[in-house]
Order: sequence, then structure tokens, then C-alpha cells
Amino acid sequence: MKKKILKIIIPIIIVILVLDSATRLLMPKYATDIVEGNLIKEYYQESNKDFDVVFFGDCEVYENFSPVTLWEEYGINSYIRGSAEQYIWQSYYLLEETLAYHKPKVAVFNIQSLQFNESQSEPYNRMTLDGMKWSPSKVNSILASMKDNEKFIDYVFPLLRFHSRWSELTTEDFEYWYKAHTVSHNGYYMRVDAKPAGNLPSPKKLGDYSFGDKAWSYLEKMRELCEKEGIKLVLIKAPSLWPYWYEEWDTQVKDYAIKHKLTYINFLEVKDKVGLDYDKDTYDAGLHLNVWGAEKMSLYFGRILRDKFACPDRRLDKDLREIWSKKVEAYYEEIEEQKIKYGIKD
Amino acid sequence: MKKRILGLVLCLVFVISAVGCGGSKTIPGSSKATDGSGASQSGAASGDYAFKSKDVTITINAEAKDILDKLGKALSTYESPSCAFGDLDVYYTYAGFEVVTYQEKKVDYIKEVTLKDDSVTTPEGVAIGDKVEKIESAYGKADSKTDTKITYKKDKMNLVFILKNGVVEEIQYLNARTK
Repeated sequence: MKKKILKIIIPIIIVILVLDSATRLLMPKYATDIVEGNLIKEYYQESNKDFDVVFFGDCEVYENFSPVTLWEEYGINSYIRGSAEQYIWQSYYLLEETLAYHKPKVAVFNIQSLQFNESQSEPYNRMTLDGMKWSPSKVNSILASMKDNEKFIDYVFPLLRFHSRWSELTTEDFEYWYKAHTVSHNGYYMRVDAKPAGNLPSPKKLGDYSFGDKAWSYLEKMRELCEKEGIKLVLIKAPSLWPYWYEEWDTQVKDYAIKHKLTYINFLEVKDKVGLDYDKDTYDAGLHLNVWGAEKMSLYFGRILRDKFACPDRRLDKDLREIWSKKVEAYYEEIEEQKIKYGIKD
Repeated sequence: MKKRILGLVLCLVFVISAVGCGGSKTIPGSSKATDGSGASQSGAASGDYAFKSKDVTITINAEAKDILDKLGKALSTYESPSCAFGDLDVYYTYAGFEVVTYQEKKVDYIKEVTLKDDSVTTPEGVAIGDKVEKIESAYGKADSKTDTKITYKKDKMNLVFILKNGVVEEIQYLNARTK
């Protein structure tokens, strides 16, 4: 009898191992190219997730704020759960999932994604969703994100989606087959080079500037969840000059914030107070800030987080200090490495 | 036992190959321009609305290089890389209109043409400042119409008239995927 059971179980285990191994090999590693695909996954590697501030949103959060500066200047323990073109329903479910690990005092949400009422691209969906651990939040996020031509089963078994990569495998796929790696600094994606903003094109006029129902409903869900959990929700618009942020969009967010007594900071309106210089503080002509711009933003925003939201200075916490000392070291090492890479002299 | 395991593995490999090979999806990272359906947007279709600047016809989804060469030096250009993927949308500003290109597999295609002032007109004779009636007499019944927007749809492109108080404020030739 025992032998009979083993005869059934052993082949099943072997098949599962083979499939798991193939999946790990064939899924994109996002290690040296399009590293942004790794950001969501990296959060789970954190040994201590007791963050007081967590950011949610697209590239406008993970490229424009430096958690290291928030720590060094204010002792604020923060993390950025951002990903490329993160849609608002994905931000909501990431917030919901985060609460399974810890409850932050402040959730910061960049409202740029309100302009989308549907997911725009399957590759962007995958970059956010594949990195999430399985949970009800992930399931709901997939269901809210899928475009018509996507299938839920492709997320359950990524091998169905990525099996055709076998002919494109590189050494990176083998190097990181089973190995985790870190590409960010608490979710912050660093660049040290600079490209001045120059002449921006004139924005295209829209026939309708109102945000869609689905987008609004997820902002409402986010607000309600924060309210229920006693988390302060802060809405922001990062100071990216492009894509264009319309005044009509800004008015809708301002009205919503007033109605619900939320703080909304449009950093485009305070960019001079922040001290941003778009000749030096952006690496791609105004779309995203480089590390020098992100540090200025963090200096400015950290003061608000400390003074208005009472985010505590945790630099006296011995465990956290030890964790952050390694993070700070890695941060400055990467600045020096990138300076060499981009030929930047002090 | 060994035969059974081998059989199971082979069956699974076959099933995965069969299921997955229905579409030519690109992996995340290889292209932003495909939406996972495998359907490429590049390649202009005959019958699409196209803008003409002097003798240069600018068709949405056509390869950009020849068109840009013929248009000559733009007044200004702006490069907008996509989030994470890095492929470029480039904005070329000319007198009265703007051309935007997108990249697919490292080739540039025309994504949008926007008429910005009344120094230029569509080949059908509509310009900024014209009334709604003129659009309808030039193009016929619209596929969709609101007080602020009139749209004529083709397979891979849309011709959009943005209106204010019943007057054309901007004219846009758009790739069908453009929001």
C-alpha cells in the first residue's frame, strides 16, 4: 500500500519541481535591464517591515523620493512600494497587502495614475503583479488589472506566459535562477546623471478631463481603508514636468482632498520652494528626478511628515540603526559607482 | 516508475507549448508597444486619414524616418522615454503642427499629428477655428460626438476634433491606442 502511494506521490513531486524550476528560469529577472520589474518583489526581502511611511504609485514615487535621506535627516523609517505605470487599483491592493505585514502611520499616494480608468499595457501589469506574493490582494489586483486579452491562468502559471523565452535566455537568467538580488534602496531607483528639461512640447488638449469611475472608486477605497485602519493618507503629485499634469485634473484632486479633509501636495506648485533645478536635478529632461533632485524632495517632504504628521525620529532604535547603516552604506556606494559609470566628476 | 515520470513531464511540456503558442506575445521588457495581444500597431493602413504638410503625407503608424527627413529640421524636439522600458516617444514641433513618434523594436513610427493653429488645415479643408458644421460637411457622420470632441475612427487610427463652444480648438490624428 505504502509503495503504491509513493509511486503516485513521487512522480507528482518531481513534476512540480521541474515546473517550478522551469518557471524560475524562464521568468524575466529584471536584474541588469528594466530593473524596475524587481521593485515590488524586493519589499518581501526586508527583515523589519515596521515602516512609518509607505509610498504607493508609479515611477513618480520610486524615482523622486529617497528613503535614505528621510532616514538620515529626520530618522523617518520609510519604504516605496512603487512600480512602473502602477495603476490605482494596483496601488490599492498593494496598500491592502502591506497591512498584512505592518501598519504604517502615513500612506503617501501619487495621484498621476488617476488618469487611467483601465490598465494600458500587459507588460506593465506583469511588472507589478508578478512581483507580488500570493494573497487575496494579489488575486483581486490581477482581476482588476487584466486586459481583455489576458488570462488569469497565465498569472497562476507564469510558465504559460513566459515559456517562449527559452530561446532568449541570457547568462543573467542562469545567474539569478534561484538567487534574489537588490536593485533599489527601500524601493528607490537611483540615477545620478543629469539631462536638462529643455523645451517641453505643448500638451495635447483633451475632449474630457474628468477621471473615470473605476479610478475614482479605488481612490475612495484607499481613503476608506486608511480611515478604517487609522492611517493618514497623503495625496501627492510629484514634480515631473512630463507627462503633462492638467489643471483640470488638479482641480478635481484638490476638490476631493478638501471634501475629505486630506492633505494634497502638488509638488509642481512648490518646486521652487523645494529648490529643484530642472537643468541639474533630472536625468531625463523633466520626467524623473535624479538622486540630487530626489534628496531635495525628501528634505522638503520629510519636514512635512515630521511636523504635520508626527512621524517619529527612530534613529535611537538600535535595531533600526543597524539595518539603516548598511542601507546608507549601499546607497553611497551606488552613487560613487554611478558617477564612474556616467563620467561625473565632483 | 521512470517511464511514468518521463511521460508526465513530456505531457506537461506538450500542454504548456500548445497553450502558450497561440499568440506571439512579447515578454515584459522587449517592447512597450505591444499590449500582450501580439498585434502590432505599426504599418499604416490604406484609407486612413492623413495630414499633409506641403508635399509630405504624414500617416499614423507609418515608418517615421522618411517622413521626418522630408519635413526637415523641427523647431524643437523633446524625447520622452517610457517608464522602465526606455523606448522613446519623440515630439517634433513644426510651424502650426506637432508630430509624435513611437518606437517598436527599435524602429520609429508616427504616433500622433496635432494641428495647433490655423496656419495649417486638414487635406479635407478643416482648420482650427472652424465650426462643427464644416467638419460634418467635410467628413460626414462622426463615429462619436460630444460637445467637446468629435471622433472619426479607422482600424488603427482616429481623427479627433477637440471643440470649445462649437468651434474647433485642436485637430489630432492619433494612433488608435492613444488615450
